[in-house]
Amino acid sequence: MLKLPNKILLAASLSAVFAGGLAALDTNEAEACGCFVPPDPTVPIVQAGERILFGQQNGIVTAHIQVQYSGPAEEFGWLLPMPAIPEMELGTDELFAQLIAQTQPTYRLDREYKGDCPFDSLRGQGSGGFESSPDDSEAGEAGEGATPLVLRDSVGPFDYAVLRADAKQPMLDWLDDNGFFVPGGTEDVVDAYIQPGAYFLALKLLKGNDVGDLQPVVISYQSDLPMIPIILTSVAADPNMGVQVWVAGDDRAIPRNYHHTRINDAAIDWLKAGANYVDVVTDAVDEIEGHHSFVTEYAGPSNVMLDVLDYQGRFGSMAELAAQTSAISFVNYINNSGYPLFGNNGPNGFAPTYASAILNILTSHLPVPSALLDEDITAAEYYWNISYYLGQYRDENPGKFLDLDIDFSPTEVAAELQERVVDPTLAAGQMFRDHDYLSRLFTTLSPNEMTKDPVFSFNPDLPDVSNVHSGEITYYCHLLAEPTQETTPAVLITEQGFKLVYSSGTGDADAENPYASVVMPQSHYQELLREEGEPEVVVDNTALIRTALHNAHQEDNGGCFVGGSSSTGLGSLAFFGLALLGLRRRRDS
Amino acid sequence: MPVRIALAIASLSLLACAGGPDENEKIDPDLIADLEIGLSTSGSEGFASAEDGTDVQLASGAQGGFHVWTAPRFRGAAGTLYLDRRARRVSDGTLMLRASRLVIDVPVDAMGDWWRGREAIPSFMCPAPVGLQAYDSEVEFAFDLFSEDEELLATDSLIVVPRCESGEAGKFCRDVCSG
Repeated sequence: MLKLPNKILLAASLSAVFAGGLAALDTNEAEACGCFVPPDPTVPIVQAGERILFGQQNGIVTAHIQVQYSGPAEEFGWLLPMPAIPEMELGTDELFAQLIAQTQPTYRLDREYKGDCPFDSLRGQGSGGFESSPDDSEAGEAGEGATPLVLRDSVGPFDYAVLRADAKQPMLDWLDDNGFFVPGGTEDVVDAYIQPGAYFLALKLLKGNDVGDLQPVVISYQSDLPMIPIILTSVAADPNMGVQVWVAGDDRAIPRNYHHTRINDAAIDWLKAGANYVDVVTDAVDEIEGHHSFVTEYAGPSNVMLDVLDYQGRFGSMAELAAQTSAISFVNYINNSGYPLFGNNGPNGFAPTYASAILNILTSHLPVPSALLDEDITAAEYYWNISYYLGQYRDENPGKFLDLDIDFSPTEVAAELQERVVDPTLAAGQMFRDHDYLSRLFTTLSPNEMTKDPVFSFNPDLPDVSNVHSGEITYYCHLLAEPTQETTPAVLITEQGFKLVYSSGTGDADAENPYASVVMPQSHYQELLREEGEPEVVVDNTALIRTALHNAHQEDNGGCFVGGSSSTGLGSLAFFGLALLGLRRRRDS
Repeated sequence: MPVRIALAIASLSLLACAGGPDENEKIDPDLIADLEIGLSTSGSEGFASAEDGTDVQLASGAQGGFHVWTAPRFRGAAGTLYLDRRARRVSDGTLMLRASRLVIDVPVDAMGDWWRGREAIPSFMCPAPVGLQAYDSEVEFAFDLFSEDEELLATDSLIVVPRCESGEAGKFCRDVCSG
């Protein structure tokens, strides 16, 4: 059997269930312990980000949490304060990959051409246009003396325990005695969560599992509203760490105790399909005092996720799978039953990918021969083409299969797949049948900003928010004798109605966004969202943005601004005169 | 009265136990059933009727929030029922809480006499919405009971004044509930 290397992996902290941080009493100096406890406080750890899907129904909050951590596998630990004894199940990474794909903000341009533009791909066929997306590839990612132990169990790769949190020392002692690592300093933070009726959920990896075996967890608990215990993750966080939240419910979700920001879309690099989006969000939320604000990236029907994870017939029949006794037929049954995902992410453009849980199970029971790995044949390539590798290729290269191990128990492997892949995926899909509405919110927070745990509630009066954003760019080819896309003057009207002028053309693919240097607010509106009614606008930056753009354009008239190449004064002036006549202002949206 | 209930009710020292409606009196003759919002303590089965304006201490939750523990009871309806809960600041009507709908299975016993669930219900108050202080001002809780067919069966409201503990012990509460 293949033994996975005991590699050092990135660790990060994420907790799904808010532990109300008494540690936040002095919020500016909070140095709370991450609930994902690092093995050694002196070892730097990296928190790549937090991704959580909340569902709220009948007083029960269900949280799907994607665990993104690094650190020695054998010392993985996770400590979550809980309001009640939680129910814990395994989740699936595919949920987050699909959520990202279905609700990802995109910025696209409709293109219009004035005059004879040789770079108009639809020239002679009427007005043309194309859409672009910033990153399609992302679619594919007790009392003294009594034991505090309430229950201990395992699920998938995790060994977990629920402990009473009504006394600190017995809980810490129990964790220490049972191999759950507790770093120095935890004692001080834990104090905040020690009270009658409170619990801690402690997780570690079962022996024989690697950090690569980590997969999302699903925790259900009683609460009116979902919260993220961001204070607890501050120690393990990166600067400007992304916090990505989806909330499934009956209505649009709002950040109850955070502000809400609508970004200034004139700051978006439309020509590169919004490649600077995260930077704009980061700067925009930083304009709020305390930097506590969320952006709504999508709000609308949850049916964008309907039949994505749990389409009819997916995974076939477990009985049929267990009846496949040969490695080839077993793996091919998986391949033909919706286990792998497909996307334009392979070296040849189209390739299947397997969730890490699937690969871990297959490599444990049907390991890839080491000689093939030495030839950089990936596990995914091997399993997808197993008929070839165990057929013709093996016949031609018998020496590469000396350590071939295809002695496996179909029943055992099928059961593992059921527990770690099929059940979690179908349960995640059910979330979007149980809830009609889906909201996606995003912010970035640095550790020193993680001083307030965000709480989410709902407002049925708020409108939907599309994740697809459209601008309109017009090229004025009749101004040049030999127009090219890079040099032709152009005007872009953003979705919010702001005008971006490229008097010397939009430049080539490597050209920097000329508007990146314009000093202007990165937020368009700073708002408060209540649980009913329209948004309360706290700051409206429309005038400031327009003034900043106007001033930039005035500078451009002097021949020193805008475009992929340096501006030409007279041309710019003439262009401005013509372009402004043709402009129309679009309504802010 | 079971001892634990007596203790729970006794612990509600701040509550004005004014007694509920008459056992046979219909609260709202236009509605089919009766609903009364009482107060309780964390996780208890206690129930205490309360008058409008009653002070109630904000109770800390295990996750760092603060709640008002309520104990609704029902009469004249049974089966699968829905309970909607709202809380508004009395001074300006601002919504402080729109709680998720609770599905309650009420036994037939409730057709003839008051019935309430085993445990009190924490109504989430803090962290408070940005700019809205959730303590030391009147908050009106409004509960509506619906049938499975969305027919309004009963309704009740109760005005309370949520309080944080005084002194240093209540500092966190005041921080989290200050909005």
